[in-house]
Amino acid sequence: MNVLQGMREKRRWILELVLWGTVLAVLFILISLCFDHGIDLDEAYSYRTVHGNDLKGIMDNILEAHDTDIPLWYWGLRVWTWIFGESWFAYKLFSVAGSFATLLLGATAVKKAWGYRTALLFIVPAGLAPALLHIGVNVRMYSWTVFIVTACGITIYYLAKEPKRRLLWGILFLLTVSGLFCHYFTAFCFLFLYLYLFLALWNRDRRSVWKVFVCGIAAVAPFCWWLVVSDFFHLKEQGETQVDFGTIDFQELFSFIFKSNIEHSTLLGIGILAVAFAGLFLLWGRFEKADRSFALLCLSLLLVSYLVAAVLASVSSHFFISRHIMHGLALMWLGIAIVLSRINPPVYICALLFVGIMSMSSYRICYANEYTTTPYIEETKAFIEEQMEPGDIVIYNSEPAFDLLYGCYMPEQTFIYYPELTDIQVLAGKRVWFFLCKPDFFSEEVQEVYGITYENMGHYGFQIINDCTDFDLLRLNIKGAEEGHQAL
Amino acid sequence: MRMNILQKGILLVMAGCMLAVWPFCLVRRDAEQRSGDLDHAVTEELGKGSVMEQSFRAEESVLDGLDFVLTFDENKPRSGRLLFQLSNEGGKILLEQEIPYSQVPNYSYFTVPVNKWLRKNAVYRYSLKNVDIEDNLPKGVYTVTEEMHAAPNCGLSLNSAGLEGEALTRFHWKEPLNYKNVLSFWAFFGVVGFTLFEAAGSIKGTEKRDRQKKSSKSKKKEAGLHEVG
Repeated sequence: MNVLQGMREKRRWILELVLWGTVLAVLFILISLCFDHGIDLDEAYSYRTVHGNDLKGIMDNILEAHDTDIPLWYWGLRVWTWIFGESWFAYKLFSVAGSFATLLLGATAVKKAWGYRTALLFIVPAGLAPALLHIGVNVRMYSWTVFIVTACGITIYYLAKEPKRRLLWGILFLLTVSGLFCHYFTAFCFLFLYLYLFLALWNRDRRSVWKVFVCGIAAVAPFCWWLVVSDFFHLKEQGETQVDFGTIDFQELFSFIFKSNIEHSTLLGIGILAVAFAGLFLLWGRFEKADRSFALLCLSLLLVSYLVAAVLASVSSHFFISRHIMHGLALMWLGIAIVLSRINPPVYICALLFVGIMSMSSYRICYANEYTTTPYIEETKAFIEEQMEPGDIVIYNSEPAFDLLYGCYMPEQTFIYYPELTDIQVLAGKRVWFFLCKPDFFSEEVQEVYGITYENMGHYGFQIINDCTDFDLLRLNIKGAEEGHQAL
Repeated sequence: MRMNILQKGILLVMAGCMLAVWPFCLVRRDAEQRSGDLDHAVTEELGKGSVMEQSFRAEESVLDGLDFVLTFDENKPRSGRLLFQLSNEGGKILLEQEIPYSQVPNYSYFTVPVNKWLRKNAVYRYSLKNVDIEDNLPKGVYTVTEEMHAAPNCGLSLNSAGLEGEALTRFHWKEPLNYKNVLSFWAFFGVVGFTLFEAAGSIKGTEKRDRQKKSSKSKKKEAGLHEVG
């Protein structure tokens, strides 16, 4: 018996080593993508909301912006930068921390509930799958909302079995409030997670059903307060994007979840998800009752919450894109892991191989996005430091919102979007630059009237991604219109 | 391990799918080779019956499509036909297609769907013949410098007279998958196949038949022992 116990103990240590080794390996891979200084527009928004502001200032910023954000994640980012500094690396590391928290869930709670095989098959895609790897290093709230929804799902799994544990109800409440105050689209995931808990307790322990309502209402109450404080701007019309439910692009959703450099990767990913559903139903009796219903919840949560969100967006004119509903993505991979690790060893090995190759491909794409889209950034930063002065005016003709991004690198300069420049005369005699992103410049007539000459200082750029392009940097000399000339 | 007939069938299909990916390479990825954008020249007009021929070496086994470029001086012909032919080195015509001039753009690629298996590294030829127009004649476009030639191209002629250059061409190949793609597909088929294999083994009818077979075999064995006894 002692020999057997010894062997079991040894096996357990080896499995722990493999599991934690995988967690650390995924963590190092995520960190390796954080060393670049390029940011996209959304990351610029995060930086501008947080940088130089205290917690109240962040709240004021968000309320003033009348955009769709909620302060909790920004507060977390601010506290993080107070501890770790304001470098781009520190900002990105906050997102890595969110992904790491999900990995820790895998190595602890998932392992405890479903075993080592499920935990391993969950950890790899939770950190490195196409969309999840991107958000793991992108300075936005999604890595944390994914963690919160995943933790919420696992908490609900335990609560369905042990509804008398007050600590778990407390954790559920805190996670729900946190999720809602990081991104209100998590509400769609919470809705179905709470529905699952209600149905599970209705079947097993009806006397505890009231707790679901109390917890849910208590968690939503602070959010209702926020809606009042923020003047309900989350529910009002936002932007011009009208969602037509009849033309919602599910291909785009699945492409977002699964696309990599592997040929037909989206189709293969959909196939894996379909096989997980099929395996669950075909082998229904093989799974424990709690596991099979939870696996079904996990597999379908993302799709169902996406559909509901899309329907609501189609009737409310609220803008809507796939990543807004990705909070349940790690739970989807958990569902796949629970099912595929219980069929037979060959399925498990093949699934692990598939996920491993997909993750490698995903890393290559992310690496290219981070490190090959900023060929000019160091020279641009050096130019700004050496040549530009506080108060300089920069005219740009890329997209109107990009002053937000440029301002992250040039906080002391003023930006004017070229198509919105109405009065050239006020620029006369000032230090003016032009980011020539496309061939749309002052006409010869205007140049003559206002005495505009320019010098091309070279080709520069920030992160060349998502419509943000490189540009010729021109130094303008504007003498101004002479008396008697009409302003154009 | 005893397998029922359904399980055996599933394993066979799974193995077949895996073999189709590699080594039979029935699943392929897109690859493109094209001429460069600089150093272009233009042929003489292709009169009625004139033929421009471009030889090329098959870089892959599957040619999915082939794009060519023609230019028209002033007005494009509104009627008339162009004959596209693809043939092997021996002159056997593999594909023939009449293209109305109205569909052919001026100085832009026009795609001809080919979708043919070729012998890799063998030489083939595509030709463009002006079938029936006599005015607004087309001209071929070709590259004149080595670095601008599309890699597979290896000989251009107009009405059998050789030209110093290679036609402006874009080749759409289907190339075999690399090892990462092959492993991904194998892993995918493995997940599907072994899941169905397990499900087939759980089917009640087959389980019952297997149990009956087992018990009848063991009964025969006992009877045999009794006889011997």
